[in-house]
Amino acid sequence: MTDAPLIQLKNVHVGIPSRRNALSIVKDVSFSIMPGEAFGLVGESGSGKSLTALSLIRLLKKPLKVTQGEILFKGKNLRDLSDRAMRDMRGDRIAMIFQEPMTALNPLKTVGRQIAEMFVLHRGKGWHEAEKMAVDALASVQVPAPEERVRAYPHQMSGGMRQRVMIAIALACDPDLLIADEPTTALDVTVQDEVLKLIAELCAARGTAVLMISHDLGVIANMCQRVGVMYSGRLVEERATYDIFANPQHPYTKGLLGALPRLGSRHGAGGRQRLVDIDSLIADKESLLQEFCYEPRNSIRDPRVRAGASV
Amino acid sequence: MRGFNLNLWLGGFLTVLVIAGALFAPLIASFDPVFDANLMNSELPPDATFWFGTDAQGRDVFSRVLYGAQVSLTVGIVSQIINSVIGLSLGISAAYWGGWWDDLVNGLTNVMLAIPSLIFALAIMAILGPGLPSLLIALGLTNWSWTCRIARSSTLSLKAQNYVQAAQTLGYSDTRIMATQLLPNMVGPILVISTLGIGSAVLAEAALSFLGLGISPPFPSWGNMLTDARELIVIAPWAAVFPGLAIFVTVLGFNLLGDGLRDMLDPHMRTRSE
Amino acid sequence: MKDTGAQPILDIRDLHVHFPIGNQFFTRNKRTLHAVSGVNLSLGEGECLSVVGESGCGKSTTALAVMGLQEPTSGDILFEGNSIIGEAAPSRMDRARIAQMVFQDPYASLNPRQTVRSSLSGPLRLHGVTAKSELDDRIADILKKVDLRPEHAARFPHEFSGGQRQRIGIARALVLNPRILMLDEPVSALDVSVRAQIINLLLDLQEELSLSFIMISHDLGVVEHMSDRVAVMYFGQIVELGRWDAIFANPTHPYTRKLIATIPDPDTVLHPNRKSALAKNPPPPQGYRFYPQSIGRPDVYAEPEKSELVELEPGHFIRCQAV
Repeated sequence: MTDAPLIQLKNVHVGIPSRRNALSIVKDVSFSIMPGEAFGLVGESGSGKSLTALSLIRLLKKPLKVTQGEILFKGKNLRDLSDRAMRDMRGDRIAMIFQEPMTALNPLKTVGRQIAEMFVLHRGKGWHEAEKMAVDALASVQVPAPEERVRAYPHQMSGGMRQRVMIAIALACDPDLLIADEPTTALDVTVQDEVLKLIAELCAARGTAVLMISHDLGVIANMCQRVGVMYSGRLVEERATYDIFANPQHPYTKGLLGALPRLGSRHGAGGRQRLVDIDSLIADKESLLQEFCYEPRNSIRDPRVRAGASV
Repeated sequence: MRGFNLNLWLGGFLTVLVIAGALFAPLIASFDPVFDANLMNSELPPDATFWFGTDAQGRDVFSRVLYGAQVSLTVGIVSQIINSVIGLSLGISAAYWGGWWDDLVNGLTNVMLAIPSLIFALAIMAILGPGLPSLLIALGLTNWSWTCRIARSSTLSLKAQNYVQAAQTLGYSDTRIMATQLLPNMVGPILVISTLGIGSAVLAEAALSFLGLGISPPFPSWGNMLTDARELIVIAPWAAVFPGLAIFVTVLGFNLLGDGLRDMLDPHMRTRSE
Repeated sequence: MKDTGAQPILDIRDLHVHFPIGNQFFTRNKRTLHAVSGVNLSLGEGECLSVVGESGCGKSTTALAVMGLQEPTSGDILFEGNSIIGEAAPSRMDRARIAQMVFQDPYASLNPRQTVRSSLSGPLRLHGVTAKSELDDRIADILKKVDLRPEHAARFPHEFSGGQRQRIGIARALVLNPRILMLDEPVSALDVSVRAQIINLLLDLQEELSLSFIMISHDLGVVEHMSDRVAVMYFGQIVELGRWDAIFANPTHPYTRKLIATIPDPDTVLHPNRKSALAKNPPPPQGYRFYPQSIGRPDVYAEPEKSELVELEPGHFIRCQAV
């Protein structure tokens, strides 16, 4: 085991740079992921969790930019890399899977071709050899009859199968880090279970570190060893998964857990308790929140910020 | 801020110019377009009195172009309104109800698209005879297929929206749903296609009048002015050039306006608040 | 099925919905998709009945049939003992006062071109409320019920957040004072904090207005929190039905157990044994075997085999086949 983190974010700010009043959406986020570790970022829409992930792989859409901070991958600052070096890094060392596999896959190419592309691009293989490797890659994500399925187009597959193909593409080059942004939100629960188990098994077997982004506390709890909770652009709590769920410290984390209807949380003879309302909690405890560097929530959030933040 | 929408502004300017010319023709024109004929003044080139010159009968081409704009715009706008009403009611109802009605409307639309609309309009004019009312009917019945198609495809995507289902469960009748839930949500594309439609109706009016099937002389329309000027094209080219230019400016104006509207209403150009 | 024995407010009897697949003119082998195959459900007055299952299990089709938005192939739906489908169906106007629907996606459920006021005043006007003062009162009243302010009425949907839109959707559903609310995944598109607020609101409204709820959901946490009874659907049929505590404390059908076991539950980290206990299925009742026996991808075009709902204990049913 090594003590050097695989990736380390130091005081990262993401926002729209401007000379007069720069707008920060992600504020002062620092965390690190060790090799082979699964780290979860949980938060509600607009909390900045997806932007944090995109900043890490340098895929922020203009005009959003990392305005401050360092993103160290194996000790090297990714912000200093040339565009070309970063492109080589993506898909090879750092891979990403998205929520909606249909839009992330090219509808005009067979899935085999799309997997093979990774070997051609990053491993310098010829197409012939790469397509043979694609069959193995499909088999590794437990797609039945991979020899036939390599010739299928994305629309011929179910949502769960498409997400498996995305995983095959992402893990094709044995990356050091897999970023999974809400990978199962669009799927049915039993399919979600299968896909999550697949990600966990494959990454554990290959020693791939995972950055899992989700709004679903259950998914994060099942997948990750450590969890960071994001709220309005800040990382408000970051601890081992068991500790966060057993003994949440930050008032927002407590609120989030109290707001969630959890299995087995209802007791008594049919009495239906009301869930914790985070907004009222926060309005009541303004001074406490000050301490935790909170900002009060607006009930109608600025639509421009929302649009940018939910990318 | 987004880029400057040149099409919208230029198209809007040209359209307003033509509409203003038509509306204020009696105030702007210094001569009567029909009765101020004076053979002494025939075929004069443009000068300070006759800005666009005079035609074979000595009538002021400028005044006739202005009054011709009234005819062209009336035909363009009224026939497009008829087209829109037909296209919208057929398109929306076909997609909403589906079944044999949808098949029928679809078939009809395809037939309409296969026949050149000018030929179809010619046939209707041949039955109804020349004149403004038959011109409006002929052009109003022949150019609704694109409106119908757009209305149909918009309805197909809109009727899957939950608010349409909600309206059904709240007791709205089908026609009320079409009018209050579907129609308002397709205003954008329909406005674009209608603006383009006005341009093509102006062109079709000119063509029909040129063939002698439109407005009967001596009342001016751009089409019959071109017919009259045909024989003078060498000795008095202005008599043909200016009505031709008016057609060109009008059609260009409406087309640019349509393109501009499309750009403006395109959801990809708008910042979405969601 | 209600233990009080009182007449249910809604009674779904042997509901079948089949969809013919393939163009009628050109394909020879017409196939029939059995979306709903023989659903029997009754909803008690003031009850919250949840129908759970994965996409394609027929829960939404059942909901649409109840709402009159989907013609059933066979079967009957009774409201207070009177049929509301087929020949005897009431008019759309009368039906509007029976049941209303709250939709999943707060962005698709409101007409973007209508202000909140006109979304709410439209149905009221249609149902005979025409005086402006009364309209204003009713709209202000219903907005207050869903914790919105009267001045919100002048705004368009895009000016609201997702949670507020869902409140508007609830207000629209309640504006005609229906007896039943059909909740179609009412909170699954919302953030956790907003979700909690909407769940609380729905529970408050149910008590205040003595509404009956049918909730369609795949989120078992929400279902356990809100329901009185739960029906688990699997490929067009109910496989388990019972009071919420029976379903969650004593799930018996293999599919129910699988569903509960696969829910990513944050408490797994705290109680790792709870899930593993679900892995071992209990035996089927004497003389029966569970139906369907294997949980895979059944053929949706085939007629399901003959099976029945067997009562394990009062009010707790599971689908079995006699052997």
